[in-house]
Amino acid sequence: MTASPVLSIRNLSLEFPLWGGALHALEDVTIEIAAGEIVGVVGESGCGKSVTAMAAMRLLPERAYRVTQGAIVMLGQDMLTAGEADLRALRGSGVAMIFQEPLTALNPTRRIGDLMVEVIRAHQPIGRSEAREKAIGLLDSMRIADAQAVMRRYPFELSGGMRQRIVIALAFANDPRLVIADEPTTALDVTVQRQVLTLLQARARDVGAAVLLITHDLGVVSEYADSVYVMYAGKVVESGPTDAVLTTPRHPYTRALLQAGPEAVAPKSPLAAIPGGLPDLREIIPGCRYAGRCGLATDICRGAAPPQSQAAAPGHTLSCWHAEGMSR
Amino acid sequence: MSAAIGLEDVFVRFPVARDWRGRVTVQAHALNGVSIAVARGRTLGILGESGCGKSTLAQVLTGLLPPSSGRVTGDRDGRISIVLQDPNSSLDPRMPVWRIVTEPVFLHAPTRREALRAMAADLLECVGLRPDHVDRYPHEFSGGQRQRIAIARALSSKPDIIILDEPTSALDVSVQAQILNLLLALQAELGLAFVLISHNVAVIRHFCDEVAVMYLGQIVEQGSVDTVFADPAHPYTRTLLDAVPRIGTGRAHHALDETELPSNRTLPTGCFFQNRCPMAAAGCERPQILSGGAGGHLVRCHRA
Amino acid sequence: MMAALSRLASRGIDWRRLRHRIGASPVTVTGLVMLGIVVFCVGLLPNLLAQDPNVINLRARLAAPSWSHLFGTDEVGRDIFIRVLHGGQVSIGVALFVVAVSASVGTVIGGLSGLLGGMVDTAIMRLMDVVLAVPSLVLTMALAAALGPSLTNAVIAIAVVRVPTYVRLSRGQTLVVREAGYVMAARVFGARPLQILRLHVVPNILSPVVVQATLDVGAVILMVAGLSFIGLGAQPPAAEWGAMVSAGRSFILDQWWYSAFPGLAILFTSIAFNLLGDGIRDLTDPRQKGRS
Repeated sequence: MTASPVLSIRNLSLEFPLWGGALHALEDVTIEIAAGEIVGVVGESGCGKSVTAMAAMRLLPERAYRVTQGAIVMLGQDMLTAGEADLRALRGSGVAMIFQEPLTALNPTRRIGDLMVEVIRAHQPIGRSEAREKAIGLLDSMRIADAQAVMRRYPFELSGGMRQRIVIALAFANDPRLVIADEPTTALDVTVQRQVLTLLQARARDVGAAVLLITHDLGVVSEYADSVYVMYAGKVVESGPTDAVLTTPRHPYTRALLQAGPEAVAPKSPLAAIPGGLPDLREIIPGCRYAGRCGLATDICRGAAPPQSQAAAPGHTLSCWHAEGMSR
Repeated sequence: MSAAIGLEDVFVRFPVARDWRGRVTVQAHALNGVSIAVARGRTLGILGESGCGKSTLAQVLTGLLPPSSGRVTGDRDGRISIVLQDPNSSLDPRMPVWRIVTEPVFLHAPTRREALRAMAADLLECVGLRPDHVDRYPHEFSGGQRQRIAIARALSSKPDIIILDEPTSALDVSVQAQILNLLLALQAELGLAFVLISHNVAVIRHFCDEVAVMYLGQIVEQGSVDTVFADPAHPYTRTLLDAVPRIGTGRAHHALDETELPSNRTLPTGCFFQNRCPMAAAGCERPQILSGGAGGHLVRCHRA
Repeated sequence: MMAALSRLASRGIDWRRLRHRIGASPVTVTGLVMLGIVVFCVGLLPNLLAQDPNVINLRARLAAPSWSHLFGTDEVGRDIFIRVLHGGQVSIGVALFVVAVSASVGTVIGGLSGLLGGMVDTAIMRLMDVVLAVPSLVLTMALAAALGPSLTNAVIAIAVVRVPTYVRLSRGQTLVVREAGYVMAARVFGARPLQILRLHVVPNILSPVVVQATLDVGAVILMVAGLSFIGLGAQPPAAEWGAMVSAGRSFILDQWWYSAFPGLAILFTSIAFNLLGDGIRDLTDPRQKGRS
């Protein structure tokens, strides 16, 4: 990768101050997204994937969190020190965000057409009719049949899949260089998910935008992301090119996650559930955060944070004391 | 084996709009001729996406909703239980666990507090929770633990049949595995019949003996899990199976199909799936019948 | 992570945290302090002082406030301070009783209305609309006048007029609770509507009802006083704040203390309940639970 990354999160540690302590939500998270790249961040609930995205966009409530270490640079802008005006400029044109529930992103009292024209004209010096043309073009690019009619509808009159396609169309309205999609298809049916993700991917490739795709679904990552970061309890445990990470996983957590699915065993036979639950993130955890549930855990795992090491494929890294043993 | 519960040609219609005299002018057709049967000790999967009538089916099976026409057959003496999707909403936040778990019992027979607490402790142990947690409240448990509590409650009325309405779709994969393992173990031990309603192909394939694939209030394909998933005959079943993202199959390249459902206000005259069907041809404009091949594999498509 | 955080935030009652939150809310603290003063004065002082509020002392008629008569005396020499303390027992006691009755009746009717739906719901709500359409003070006066002037009848009239507020409130809340999974599960397990109401609906809609009731106490104190003022409530010689204000109004220009002190007591107490109600609402409002 020669170009500078569109988003670079370096060694980010973040906590939420609580009454009498803090919730250590992220620790030493490093995520890098190059121009035009689709990067998946995958993990179960409580792993910190959404907090990472929200922190990168500075969308967390300002007084509710504390960055204790690290840096976030988005499109050359230092996000931790950016002022309100910088953020507004960035959110409007350079970066776009797609959330799980499209209804929250669409003002229920406005027609789709008016909404889109407004968003387009907020950042581009063009007239109303030209903006309308552009909006119709965007809807067409999302394979929305009869865009003219859809422009006259209200959000609640449309299906969830249609709404999410409109949100994606809007996300690309101002030629973003980075799109952050937080569980964009979790609320949708699989057939609709396929369509929405395929459109998102195609659109990003067309305009050369990078995508940060946050999901809990390893299958989605496998089919749509170029590279992947696997997170557990606020830490990135394994990362690298998607194929390498998902077909030759090296971290015990990634392996356990892949094996817990019903696809991994014969029908009706017991599934490989991961015993136990997340560690209490209010406590300081000196060792590996996965040690409490890991079959390979030894004293060193509980005593000190695991170092990062390289796997066989270029760019494939993991944080595990037993990285050597796991290559077999 | 006799059927523990069954539906015979069940239709459910909801009034959507009425004229000034109160006569129904618009109806939603939620179920359009559904017949199923579940035998004791067996599991039937209902597979379908939103709008296919899964939730209405659950309400009819549990007796909450009378069918507009058709029959519910089988033993209906309070022997049916339910586990719902969202473990946050399905447990009353203001009740201690022992009351939640024993609700199906004390609703019908006033029972002494100590007896209920003892029963609750046994049930918690049954589902892999600590029996001394009977006095805790739902918010003190994780999502997976709450679903275990919901299962304990479903067991307390000593049911023959449990309707599992998307029991793991709000859970993480690792927790889903725990819950599915628990349910399979309970079934083996107690000989329960399950109806598992889900949109998750992998879960149905793993967990069920038979499957009924639903689309717009109709069963479009039905049969044993092995045959239906190994050799899906209905175009919709194939679309659905193809849409599931898979790990390690490489980058996705897919044709973009129509995904909008037809309205259930006025049903299509012919095949319900024809507007999205890659195989649509002459003959699809006629109503399709669910008809059988070998081994009870039924398909609602004249081209299959 | 978001989910984990909000789970943390909604975890049971953390008393330290609650005290912290109350401490951070000046409205609640003020309301609590004011109510503490009221409870002390009205609940404890009359017993400690052990003075009869109806003792007549013709030699000390219409005396101005002094150390022997803190709030002065009335036209037959009764101590206004003692009468305000005893009158508070009547005013506040009646208000609490009225609110308790109308809130519980309203909650049951509203809960059933929301739970059953259909014709029952329509009928109940139309009836409530009729009651709400008439200005409440006018309706109360009409009812009280029809029943005859006495404190008991005033209580009945106010309680009846207050019911629709609670019916509407609890019906709205019930419509939300009705959709919860635990209600659906209870129906599958064979619960009857009254069982669902008692086990699930009432416990889960109670907090907004309590907030409303607390706010209402202030308003009802004013209504009781108002009815007594126009002669439809407490009858002489009973000490009751409204009746006292009323009796004092012919002396308002020269003996201001006669009406002023009972009036101030009404003001102080209703402000106390209003502040407390606002405070409870803020504390129980889910939006206030720091979900970040």
